[in-house]
Amino acid sequence: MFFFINILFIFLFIFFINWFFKSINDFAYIKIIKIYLIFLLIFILSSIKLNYLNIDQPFNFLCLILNFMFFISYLLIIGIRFINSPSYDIINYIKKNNPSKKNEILIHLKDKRIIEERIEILTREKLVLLNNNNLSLSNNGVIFCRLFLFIKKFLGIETEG
Amino acid sequence: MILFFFISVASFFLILKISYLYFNQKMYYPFRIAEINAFIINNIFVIIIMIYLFEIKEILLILLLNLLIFWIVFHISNMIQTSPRTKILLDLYNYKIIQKPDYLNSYTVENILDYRLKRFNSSKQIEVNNDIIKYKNKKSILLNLVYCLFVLLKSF
Repeated sequence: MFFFINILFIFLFIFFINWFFKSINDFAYIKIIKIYLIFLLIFILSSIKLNYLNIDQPFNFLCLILNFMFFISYLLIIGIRFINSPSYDIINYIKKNNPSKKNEILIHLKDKRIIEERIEILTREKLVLLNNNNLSLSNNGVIFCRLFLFIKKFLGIETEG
Repeated sequence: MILFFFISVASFFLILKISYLYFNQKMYYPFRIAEINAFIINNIFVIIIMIYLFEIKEILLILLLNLLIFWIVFHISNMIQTSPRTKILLDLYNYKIIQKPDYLNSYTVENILDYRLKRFNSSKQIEVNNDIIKYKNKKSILLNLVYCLFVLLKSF
């Protein structure tokens, strides 16, 4: 029973986030994490109160881990709702203008201000600081980078961008 | 059961590391072969052991959790390899401080396009002939599956 309640919780959470964040200007990862933690706390407390959750049962504990894993998976893909990946833009352009010249695709991508737009988003997310046209990382940005560098080194992945 | 789950997660990462050393960055689009290999081998071992230890609902729950871990690892490796935002952050970590125009000269749209054309070409989504790029509507089942999932999420 608690498994299905968890799935229902995830669906309701996704519907709420989709309703709450309508545009890229409202959207911030940190806001979503805070909302999830509040929702999760209410969910756990009400489940205990209603006798659906007994932490002593390993199955219920794993259901809570499942809940968190679904949230992380959602967090990793929510960004594509608001900003197209360059791959998506390139493939769409080539599909519509088949065959295409490389220069034409380049002009199309330059119009999209791909890199500038991403710097603006990172600045809004407070991961990057922009002072007098100087770019640097914020403390949160440094923490994020150290985590990614650890995973990058562990898996041996090259960053292409 | 909880201990078993954490052991299965640890064994997944161990097999993943060994698979990355063996297969490196080889792809079966959109996944890396190392990720698929680690997921399959780990789940075979885990299922064999779980059959003797747990009930069917517990087995299914652990398999679902393993699937989510695989999905998370796939996205994180993709972010590290292909995401321009991650690239900007990791570049800034190395530069410490840089003038915005200088950075925009070092990381350009040309870089982004070249890396992607190389990837699309190796996944046989496009055909590059000199400077002419032709779209080929041949995608693997897995690539189609992930593409459909993203389209669904975008329209959701």
